[in-house]
Amino acid sequence: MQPAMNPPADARAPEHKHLFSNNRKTRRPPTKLQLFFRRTLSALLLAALMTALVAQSLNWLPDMWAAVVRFWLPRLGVGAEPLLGAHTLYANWIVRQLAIHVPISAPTSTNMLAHALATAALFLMSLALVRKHVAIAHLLRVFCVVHVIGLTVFAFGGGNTSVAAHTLGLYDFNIALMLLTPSILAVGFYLYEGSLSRRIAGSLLILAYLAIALPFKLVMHVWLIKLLTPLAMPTLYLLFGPAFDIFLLVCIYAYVVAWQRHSLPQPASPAAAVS
Amino acid sequence: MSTTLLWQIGFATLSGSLALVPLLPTLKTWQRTKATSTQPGGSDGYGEEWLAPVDRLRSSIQIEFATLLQLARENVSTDETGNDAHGATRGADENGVPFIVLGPKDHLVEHIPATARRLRQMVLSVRHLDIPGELVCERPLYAEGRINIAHDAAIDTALAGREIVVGIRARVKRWAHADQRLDAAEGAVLFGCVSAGREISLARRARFERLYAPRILFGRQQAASPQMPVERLPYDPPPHAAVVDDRWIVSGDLHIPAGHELTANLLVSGHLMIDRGSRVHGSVNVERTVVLAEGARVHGAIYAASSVHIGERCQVTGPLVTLGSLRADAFSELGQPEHPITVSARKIRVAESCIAHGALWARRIGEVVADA
Repeated sequence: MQPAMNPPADARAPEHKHLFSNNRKTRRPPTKLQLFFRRTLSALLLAALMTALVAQSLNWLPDMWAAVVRFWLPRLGVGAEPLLGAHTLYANWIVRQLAIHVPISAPTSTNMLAHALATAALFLMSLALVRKHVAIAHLLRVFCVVHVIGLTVFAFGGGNTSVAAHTLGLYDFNIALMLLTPSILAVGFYLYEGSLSRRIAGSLLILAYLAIALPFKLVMHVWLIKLLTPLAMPTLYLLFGPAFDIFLLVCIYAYVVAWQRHSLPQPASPAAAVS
Repeated sequence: MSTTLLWQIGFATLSGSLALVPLLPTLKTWQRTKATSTQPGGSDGYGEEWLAPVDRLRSSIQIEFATLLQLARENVSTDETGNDAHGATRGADENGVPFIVLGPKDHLVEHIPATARRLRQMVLSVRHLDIPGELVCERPLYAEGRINIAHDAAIDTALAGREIVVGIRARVKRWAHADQRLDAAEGAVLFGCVSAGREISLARRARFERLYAPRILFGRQQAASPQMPVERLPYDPPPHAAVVDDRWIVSGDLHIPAGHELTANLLVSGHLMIDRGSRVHGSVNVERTVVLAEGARVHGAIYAASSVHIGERCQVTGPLVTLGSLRADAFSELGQPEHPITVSARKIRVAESCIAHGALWARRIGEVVADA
């Protein structure tokens, strides 16, 4: 018996048409070149849009950060005032700067001795931990090496004791990171991720984290410098400054990238599917 | 406690939590690492993890295709001429993946062009599914009955409610699972994980990566000639072995002579040779090669940094892990029906008439050979 011709899918199960996207059958699947250009163009557009969003939000974000700093500093026993000024990051673009000025005296020899002893104690602790907790032991050693270099610089009369310069450095780096994040995402995440909503959600998650964490980081640095004297400044800047920001950015980026599923469009037409 | 101190504690907690939030996903990774490093074999070994994609496909079919499959089962209507009408349904799921649902009287070959060499549709059948020879299937296959994969065909994934038969030189690219039994014909190539609810049977020259079933038969099964019971002598620690509790720490090679028996966990820094008919009750950890001569048995785990050779009629009842290759001769048995194990080696060569129970993982390639 000759097998019956297959009627169209609509005639087979019309009641299920709403369940599956059968209308995709009429659309020609895009070629790889078309997909590439489409992805690249949308990534560039979205990156530009996100950068503009960050730039726009920088008109009011510094005030919010200054309010957070103003809230926490007196409560932590640090009598400092955030200084909101203006400085130019790019040609015609003014971004308000946020620096926290705390008058701090230069470190004494007693302070240096205490820091040196504490560093030695941490190094000895790393020796004890190296068998069972290798990662922690090596992190402690890195901390000790960085701190010893900082102490050496201070011992020879170098070193910066201006908290305002320290916080301004952190602030500037954070602003630059926020402005560059959409571009960083455009050359990676935006190309791999097919869903526009996931792209936007991922970008906003990273930017929101950077925006929320900045004032807390500034206050924490100021508080620790006040507690531990300016000798802690180099270590704080090198280990918990820009490098730590990039580390956290990579963590969130990895989390966001892991969202992507079924991002590449599949051939939808049964006629095109069988070759 | 002063108010400032309370504020300081609160601030430290808040800032610390904020800094640690991006690291939260790593906790998941740590948990996963712990889970994968469990004891191999049985319910908590590799096999259960290998079945995760099977469960995912099964549940997605139950969620997305339950209605269509039910319709296909009931849709055996008759047309005006009195013949059974075909109940195949075509469509695309929410991700744009095209599919065909076949009714009980449908055959896949009637729904694809005669010249088709590649099938880019997911195929679901309420009864048996026959994959024509030399066809390359790029999407999952699902049948509530049996799946027959003809010679030289290649499939991506397959899930069958009953059996899967992989034809001569046919290939499985990612995984295949049969709820009852899976047979692979001569020259079949099974990449990824192949599992069955009851039994897997591989013909000669079949190659594999990961196998998981309560019973795995290699090649043609022949009955081994019965062995006469022999009296075994106790084996005392050699002079170059240090005995610590129930462990023998042997520096250098260890040769257990024929017809002996010992109860200890062995740590050997050289080669280990267990001669004919000898038995070891305990685990074996060897830094070089392990050789089990004919009829030897190890009632415990084997770990070898180099290769392992299991002779004829040997039996290993514990997990077997080697960084090198594994060779198992005829009539040897890995694991027991009531205690499945995990066997992991870089290359596995198994002779015909061998039986394994549990999970076999050839990290590079495994093969059934006529004479290992």
